[in-house]
Amino acid sequence: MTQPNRRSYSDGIPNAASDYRLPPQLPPPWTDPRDAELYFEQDLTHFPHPLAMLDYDFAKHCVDHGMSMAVKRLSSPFRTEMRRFWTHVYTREVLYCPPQEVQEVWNTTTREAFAPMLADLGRHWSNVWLPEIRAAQRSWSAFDLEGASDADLADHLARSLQLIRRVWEIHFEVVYSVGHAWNMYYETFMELFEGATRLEAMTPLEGLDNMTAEAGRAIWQLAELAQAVPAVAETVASSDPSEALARLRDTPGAEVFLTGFDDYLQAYGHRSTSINLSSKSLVEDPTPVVSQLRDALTNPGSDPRRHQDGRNRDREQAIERARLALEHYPGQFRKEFEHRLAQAQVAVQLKENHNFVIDYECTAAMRRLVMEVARRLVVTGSLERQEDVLHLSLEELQAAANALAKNVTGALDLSMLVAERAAEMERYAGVEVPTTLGTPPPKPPAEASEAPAPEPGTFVGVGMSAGVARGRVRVARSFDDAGALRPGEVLVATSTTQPWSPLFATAAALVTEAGGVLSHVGVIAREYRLPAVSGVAKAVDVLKDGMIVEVDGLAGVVRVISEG
Amino acid sequence: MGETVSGSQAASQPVLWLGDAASGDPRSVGGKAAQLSRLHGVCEVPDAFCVTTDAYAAYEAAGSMPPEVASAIVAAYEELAARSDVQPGSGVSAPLAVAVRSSAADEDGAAASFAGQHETQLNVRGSDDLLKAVESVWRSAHSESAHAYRRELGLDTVPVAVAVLVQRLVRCDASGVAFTVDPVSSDDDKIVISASWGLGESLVGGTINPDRWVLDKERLSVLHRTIGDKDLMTVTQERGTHEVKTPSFLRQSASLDDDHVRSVATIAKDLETRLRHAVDVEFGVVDGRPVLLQCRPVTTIGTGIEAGGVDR
Repeated sequence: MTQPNRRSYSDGIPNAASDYRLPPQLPPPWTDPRDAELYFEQDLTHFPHPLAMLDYDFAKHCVDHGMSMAVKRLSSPFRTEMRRFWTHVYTREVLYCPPQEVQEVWNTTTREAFAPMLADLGRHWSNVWLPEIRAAQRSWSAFDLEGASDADLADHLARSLQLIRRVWEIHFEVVYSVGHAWNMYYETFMELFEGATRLEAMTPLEGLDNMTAEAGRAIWQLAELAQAVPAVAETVASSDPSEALARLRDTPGAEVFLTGFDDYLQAYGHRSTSINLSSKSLVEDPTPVVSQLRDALTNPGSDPRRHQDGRNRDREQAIERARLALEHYPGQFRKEFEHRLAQAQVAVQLKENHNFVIDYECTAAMRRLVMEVARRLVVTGSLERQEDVLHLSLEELQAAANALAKNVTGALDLSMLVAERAAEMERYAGVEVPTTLGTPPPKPPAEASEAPAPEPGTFVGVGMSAGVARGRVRVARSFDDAGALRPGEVLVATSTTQPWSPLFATAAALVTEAGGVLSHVGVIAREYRLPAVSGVAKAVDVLKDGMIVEVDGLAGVVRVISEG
Repeated sequence: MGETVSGSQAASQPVLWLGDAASGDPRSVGGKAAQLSRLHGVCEVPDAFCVTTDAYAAYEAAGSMPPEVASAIVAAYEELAARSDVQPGSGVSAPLAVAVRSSAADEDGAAASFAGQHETQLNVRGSDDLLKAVESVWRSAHSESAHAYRRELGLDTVPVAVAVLVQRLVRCDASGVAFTVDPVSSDDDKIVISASWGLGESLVGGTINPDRWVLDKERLSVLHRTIGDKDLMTVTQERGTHEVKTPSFLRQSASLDDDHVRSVATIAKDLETRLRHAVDVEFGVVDGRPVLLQCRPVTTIGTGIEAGGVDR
């Protein structure tokens, strides 16, 4: 078998998927050939392994939605869109302004939208974000999963899927705030210390506490409990981690340690190890905790607590150096620096804390719920094994839960579906997949001119506002022309200004020659949920009144369907 | 407090404190220091002492810094540090930072401003550096450009006497210049204020495009406001000052708010009334308080000499 040449997937691909030379074991990734015009990268950061259908669907349910909300409410100039090819997760970047403007929009419009949060991140976390997350978690832990009727369980699943989406909106509010807080601090730090390194900028933020660090310290406290009883320490250090707990229950003197262990699980164990429903929480399977304990006992020198004083000292010295340098600057700068430093310090903590609470604790709660549905599906014979539920789509899971509620699972045999999806997982296991797919984004101007021209009748611009719509073209070269616009028509203009906005409610879609997010087009179009593409060269000339076009506001593409 | 180093016999004193009666005499302390001394108590001016024209005469006679002059300067510097709550050798702010400025006997008269002709050194720290700075100012009185300036104005090419003003350095958040007459149009119904971030050197040196306000002198209301893109600013460093890029979030934001602008204008208007002459006031703002750094009679009306130009 020849090794796939990775470059071949992105080289020499004009527009059609038929040009792909995929290795024989990989069928074309998409059914819509237009997808070949997009550019995907494998998301190895978040999803380094193949994902079962439900894992993927759940992640998309949370992540895609959360990012879309961040785009809408907080004027983010970009988001990523997830796709699953050959059981692997790929993402593509969706920009809402020309690529060269992303940074500027992020630093101005988006930063402004985040101002209320950035005024006091810690307070916003404690008073707004965390209470809402905790309320969702309480509604999950208060629900009697085992005792609930099938109907109540189906309802609870539907409600929970809504709730988790809101939690993921918060997730991206936090993530984007953290990004802004860091950028603002970094910008100021570099102005104070020209030519400093990123690492130097990080030092004033280091060694601060967070939930992950706290859970880590608790392991070492548990290790101390184990060490107090030699037989316990010996068992933990020498047993296979998956068997250690069972052996400890028969070990005399292990009671105090086992109580401590249970306390640890109660406090920190309701966490998955990824945002995948397939990953077990530590309560379900405490083996990873035992492994960490064993490592702590066998490598006492790696106790992170012993570095704490040093890290605190480094941090305080770095801050002291900054304050000395700041003495020379106007008070306004000193005050702003202190503010940005404080926010960045909180941001570093929130970076961990939000993952702890949202990515891991909330996913674990959702897993418990999904596994209860699965358990009942096994009882009714719809599924063979509980874990098979991971091969269902989210929609199929909800349908199955509803079938349980209506007591109609007799007709519901999911085994074929499960077998098919399991086979798919198996088929691609170990097959090397390309890390990038589709058409790479345009290169800087010099090379862009050599880019292949789009197909006749297809015009490529920049997606400003998501959505696909078809309609009859109405060219408006001026605001006066635009009065002729009829409901359901596609408004085509050189650019639009604020007075045009009411027309956005009439139009089916908007195409402009100019305008970035800064020029209001994107902002307003998104407010109206109007599919919009800008940056289409000579749009008012090449598109003619009466043509039927399709506008894809996400891809930034306008296609002529008929000349009218 | 100043009794230890100042006395009634001004003529025999190498050092005099601003605010003392004897410091009102320009023959002892030069025009600039005498002016400031008279305004001590009228508005906030930095604590300062003056190395007198007598000390200069002794230096000229000896050809070098006489030991008794040096020890008087050092004693006054230590006294100034004590008044400023800075203990020599303790804390990050020690030794005390001072501004060293020339104050020639015929300088800052109503006929000639001498602005920028004689050396000014900001952020001088420690007695050794201070003594060097004083000597350097004395020497600068003989500099070529100062001579040329004097020749043009028909003054003696050798100054009668040079005093040196030693002010506690004010680390200004912003600094500026206020004119009680538009220096270009000669319109005396207006007060024109220019300001920028940090110390005044970037503004006075004309390297930046400052913020500008035009106020109605009668009502002290702001008529025009132009916010400049102040890409550079002068700040202190370990020793002396340097020009740095202005932090981006400050560049295009107003270096003074309108309340500061009005209180500066009020001071300038009051000084004009007291001195019965249009004035050019150099000021700093620290912690929201305007501090008077220099006050000169306006001598360049109609010549267009002013940093930053005029907006119309």
